Amino acid sequence: MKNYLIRRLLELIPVLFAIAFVSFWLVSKMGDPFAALIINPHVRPEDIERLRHIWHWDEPLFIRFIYWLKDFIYPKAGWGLSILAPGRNVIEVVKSRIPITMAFSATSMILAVAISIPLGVYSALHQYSIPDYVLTFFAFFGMSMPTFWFGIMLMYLLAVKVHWFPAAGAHSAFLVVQDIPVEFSEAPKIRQFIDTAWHLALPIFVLVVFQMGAWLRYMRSSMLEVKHQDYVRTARAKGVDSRTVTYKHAFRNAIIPIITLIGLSFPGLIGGAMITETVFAIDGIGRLTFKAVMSQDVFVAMALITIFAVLVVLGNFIADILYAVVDPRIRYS
Amino acid sequence: MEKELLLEIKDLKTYFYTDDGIVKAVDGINLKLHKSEVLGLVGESGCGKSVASLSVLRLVDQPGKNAGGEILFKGEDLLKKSEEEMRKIRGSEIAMIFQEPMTALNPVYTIGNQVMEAILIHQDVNEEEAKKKTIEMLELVGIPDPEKRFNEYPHEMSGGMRQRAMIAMAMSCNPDLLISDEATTALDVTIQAQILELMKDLQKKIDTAILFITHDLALVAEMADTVAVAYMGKIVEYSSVKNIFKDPRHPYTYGLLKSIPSLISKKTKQPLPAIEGMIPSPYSMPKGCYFHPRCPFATDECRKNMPELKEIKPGHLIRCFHPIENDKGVSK
Repeated sequence: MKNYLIRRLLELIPVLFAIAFVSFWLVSKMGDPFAALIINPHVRPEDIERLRHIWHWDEPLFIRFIYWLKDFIYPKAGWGLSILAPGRNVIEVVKSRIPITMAFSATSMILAVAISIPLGVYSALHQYSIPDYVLTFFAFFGMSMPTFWFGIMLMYLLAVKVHWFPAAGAHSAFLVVQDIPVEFSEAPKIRQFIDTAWHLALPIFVLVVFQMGAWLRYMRSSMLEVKHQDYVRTARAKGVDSRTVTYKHAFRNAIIPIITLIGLSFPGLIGGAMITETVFAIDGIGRLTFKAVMSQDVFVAMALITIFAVLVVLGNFIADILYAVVDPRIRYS
Repeated sequence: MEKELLLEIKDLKTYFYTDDGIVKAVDGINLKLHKSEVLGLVGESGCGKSVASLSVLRLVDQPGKNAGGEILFKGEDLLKKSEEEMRKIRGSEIAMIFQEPMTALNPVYTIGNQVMEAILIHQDVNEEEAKKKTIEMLELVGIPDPEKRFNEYPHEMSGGMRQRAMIAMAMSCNPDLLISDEATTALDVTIQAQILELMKDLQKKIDTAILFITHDLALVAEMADTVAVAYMGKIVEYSSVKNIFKDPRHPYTYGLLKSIPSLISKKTKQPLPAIEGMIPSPYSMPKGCYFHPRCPFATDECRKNMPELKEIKPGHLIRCFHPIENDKGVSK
């Protein structure tokens, strides 16, 4: 097992390298990031040439990639020509966006999985009952509702029509502490947390409903399949009570494919939030990606794409390990 | 010498209520099984023999339902018991072995865990004692190195070893009745012989009665004291094993016996005699005797009425208007 892990980790290196190169090539096709400077009357054409040279943009694609890779791994101060954050280290820009995205995508994923698994089991055990039909309807509703539309509808109904939730942003600019308005960053931590939770409630709800649909269906069908397996009948024939049959014998088998899927859905933690972040104007990774691509910010876009790639590869890796942990039939050697 | 009656199935009916209609999988079966006796239940696939055995343990899944009859086990009707009372009987007084050792064991738990579970449920022992008992059982069923095998998963064992583990599980609580549903069908012939030997051996040691379900008449000859032949959810012939091979009276039984390939026959180059036609669709059962469309002796009477199960000589019952008259047995 240990050898397998080491081998797998080593295998990841060329994969990541290849992904980074292909992304780099694609991003460079987005356009020349220096071209935009031509319309700036304060920049002389020779300045543009000089910038091009500093960033190795006059070199062939592969050489340029090697320089980029070196800078990505060992970022130097002020690295990257960022249009979104001029003069700031790209890695820093990206890093500052991670916490808020993680807070609300991780929360929504954990909530979605934690709620869907018991509901999916219930649905399978009571197949064709009224609660099963209700849950199935809900699952299809969640899966087929576009998040941007659902988000805007919630915003319209719950933030605009009745003022229960804020319409946008990750937190308020000012908080009232003891009748005095103070800046958000200066308010007590607990107030910051409550305010952020209140702001994120709607986007989290949108994501939970969207993800729950799929998890519910997976869990339900996995449980249904296992329910009629021979070993479940064997357990019943042994005199095992129905609770133990369900949770020890059936559930333990039904959860195996779900655990793999959870590992694989890791990159969705950031990627899936892109639309929701944009709709709710939350300055997270997703919104940054969107902006970077739209404004041809090559260095920020590349950094983000590389992070996504790492997450995808890592997610697969984690799924593989989890699979071996939960299923004794899979043993890597 | 009449032995004590252990299981008596009276007019048992198990129907499946599907969207396309009612399937009468078990349609009025009568069986008697005495203590420490082996009863063979024989029939083609789809004749209801597995459903009948599952009905005894009340393990038939939806949409299958009991539609009448009685299952008297030690004089008490199992169909009237509560689910909790049934649960206590399952595995302790009546145990079952299934056809597919590949799928009948839970892939994510060790063999030891699964055998031990039955012991922990039905016997008043702590885990250590249960583990000891489990290892004893594994040894008893001929699994080599039982301490090591205790911690192995089903996929690490061969089919024969798995079936042995299944038997260990079934026998661990010394059941009065063991139901073996095609327990050796999925195994190759040499393993099959070993498993049968083991079952016979344990049957004598533990003094268990066996309801032996199979489609293979040769196995019945090997294992059973009495035999019941089922066709489309009904018993068509019931007799002692010796008698049925010597003097089969129902055309169906006769056809089954004729269709066993023989090594010593002079006519080996001849095609094997088979029963003509196919079993009818369970959704459109023929009128009258269910076997008449395939029966060479069918008359108008057979097409109109279902014959009753009648005793034609002591211990030999058949369901036929025109029993075959032969004293020579099945000629090969």
